[in-house]
Amino acid sequence: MIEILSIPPLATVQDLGRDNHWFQGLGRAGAMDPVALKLANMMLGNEAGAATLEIPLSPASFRFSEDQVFALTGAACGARLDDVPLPRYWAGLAKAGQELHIGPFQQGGRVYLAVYGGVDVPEILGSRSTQLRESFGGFEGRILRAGDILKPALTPPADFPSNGVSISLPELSQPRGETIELRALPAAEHDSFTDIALTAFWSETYRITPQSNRQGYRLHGPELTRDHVGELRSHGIIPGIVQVPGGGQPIIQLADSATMGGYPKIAAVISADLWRLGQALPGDSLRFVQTDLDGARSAERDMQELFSTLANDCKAMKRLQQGWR
Amino acid sequence: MTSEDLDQLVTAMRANAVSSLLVEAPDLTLRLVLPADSVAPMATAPTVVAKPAQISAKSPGIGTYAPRGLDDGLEPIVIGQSVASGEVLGYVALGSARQTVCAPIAGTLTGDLPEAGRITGYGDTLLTLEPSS
Repeated sequence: MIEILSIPPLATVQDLGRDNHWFQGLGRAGAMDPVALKLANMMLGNEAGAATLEIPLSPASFRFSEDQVFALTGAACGARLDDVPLPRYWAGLAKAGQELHIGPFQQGGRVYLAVYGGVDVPEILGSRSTQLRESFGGFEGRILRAGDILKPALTPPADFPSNGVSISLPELSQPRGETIELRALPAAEHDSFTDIALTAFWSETYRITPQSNRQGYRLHGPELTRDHVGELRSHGIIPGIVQVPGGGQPIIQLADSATMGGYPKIAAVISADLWRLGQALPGDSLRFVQTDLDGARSAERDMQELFSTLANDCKAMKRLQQGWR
Repeated sequence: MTSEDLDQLVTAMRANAVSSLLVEAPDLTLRLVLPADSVAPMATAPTVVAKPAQISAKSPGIGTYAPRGLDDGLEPIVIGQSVASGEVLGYVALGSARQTVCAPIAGTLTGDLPEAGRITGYGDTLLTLEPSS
């Protein structure tokens, strides 16, 4: 068991989300940074989409009431197990009574805390993610708070490396202060925007405003106007869709996206790049880079190849360990 | 205070080369002075400089050594630095997977830092520490 001693607002239990209920008006939910979630689970040997904690702010503290293995990924956060500093992207052992402290984020905007077998919460409609708008899933359908007790789904294995394991990654996210590049496809109403708007959209930078959350990020940058005005019928929307409301400032729909929306859609960020937004913070700058379906598929394959390489390296390391046990 | 107590004090003064002693208590003040020639010179113990114990931080696996502080959000380590027991000092990497090299005790790093990329086997000494006193 893990007791939450303190936790900032908006921390939730998330997995990869529930994808099959759009037609019922139920959004996906799920991790804002699915890459970090999968990496945490990979280091523990969990299923890729096991439920983890998503922590969007610092600080947070936890106490382990029994020996446990856990993993931390996502933002570098000055984590400490009692007084021992922990690396970013790390999985290892905690002894009963030890406390985990998560400090200020140095790079990135979300930390994922995974436990062996995943966080043991009920699977509802095919997922353990917290559906905040509908108040179900995850931990009692709500954000986490101090005093909550989280249970790992499985007992930790006796052969987990006592020193802990880590992974080295290619530079996935831009260092703080650099512009985040998001590959995107033109969406349904793309061509209804003026040439000036389209040139600005695909070349200028936009800043993430504080009016941003798991549902979407409101951006600030060059105003985008359309040649045609007038009301649109509502259409289905998904995470990654970039809408432009009347004020001309875009909104990117994210993990807790609604399923329908009536604002004109200028673009759709490809799914392989959405995790970058999960690690972005208000004030960060981003730029849209136009791609096509082939580009989107290629980006997806690159991501799959990265995970395949990481998984093979982890397996090879485990095989070698077993050789001298 | 009895005469036996007094004898013990005088014996202890001679044995420890103490020529003057003042004892003050609520109901007693006692000053003892011994002639200089009645006090044995104190035997000088041979100076023994004990070499501090060296504890090794060993490789947890086969691979190449990767220092901490490059991409892990931690500060690089330096010789002379104090570290906590269990603290990550570096990594042994096999491809992208890494096992952590941890401090087996709390102490101060001594010796040389291993070279990044050094090929290492299971149990090889990578770093040494002097235990904290």
